[in-house]
Amino acid sequence: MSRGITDADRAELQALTAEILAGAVPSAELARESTERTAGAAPRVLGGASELHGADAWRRVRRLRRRSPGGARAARSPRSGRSPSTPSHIAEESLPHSYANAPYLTSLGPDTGSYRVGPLARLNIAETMPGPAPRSCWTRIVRRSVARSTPCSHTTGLG
Amino acid sequence: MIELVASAERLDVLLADDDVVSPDVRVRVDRADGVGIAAVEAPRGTLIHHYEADPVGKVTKANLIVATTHNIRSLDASVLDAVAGASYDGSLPDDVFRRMELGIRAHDPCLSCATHEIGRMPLVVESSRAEGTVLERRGVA
Repeated sequence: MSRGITDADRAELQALTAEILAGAVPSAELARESTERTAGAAPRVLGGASELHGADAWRRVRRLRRRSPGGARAARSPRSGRSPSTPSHIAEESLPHSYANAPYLTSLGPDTGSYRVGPLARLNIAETMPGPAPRSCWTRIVRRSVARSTPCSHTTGLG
Repeated sequence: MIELVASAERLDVLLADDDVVSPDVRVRVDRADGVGIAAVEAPRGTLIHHYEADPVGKVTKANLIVATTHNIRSLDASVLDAVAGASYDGSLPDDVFRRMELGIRAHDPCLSCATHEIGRMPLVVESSRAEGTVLERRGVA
């Protein structure tokens, strides 16, 4: 059963938030320095053939994300609530060697429709970030790649 | 890290709103049939839940696509990229084995468990001939 947040809980969380923020800003700066230092030096683990398909899918999804069919941003993942358009964008295929199903973008098909989700994917698809501190980090790490029309594939310390 | 900064700032804004201490935290749901699909950005990536229910509200079909599942194809491709073109002289080269692990870790799958040290992730790689004869088996289970 869900429990509400009391005033005492709120005060505790506010103190924690200040602590998290104080640590998060220098941590993001450290991550940026590390990424810039190692970019290109380490093997590109998200590179190769998958990256070609990934970059293509990324460009298509970015276009899809901006498009507004019927006034709604169909491909944009909603924060919550119903998204009746999801099944038409993603299909799943069974893999003979795994219990997992492999989803793919229906517009590209199973052979080339692979895609990635996660924090890096979100930052690549974002058009900006809320607040000056995250926007500054995002601009320096991700936006340069986005401006070149290729997704940023640097994972910290991994090239 | 960028998202951590953004989330902490957002948390501060949400906590400043008095609605956050409202006792109204539950929505009553009536029994009905239908289809419901929802997607949310979880920390690891997009999470999709898809349900179908009969007229008494019993779930008749459920499908979840979790972040790790979304990334399966890309993860497979990264591991294949690490192996493709690698030389093999009776033993899998260390750098190939390492790149396979990096490729998996870069996708942050729940199955890798990021608490394992680099090089000690449970990963077993079997090298075999096309007809199935196992040549080598290495890794930590």
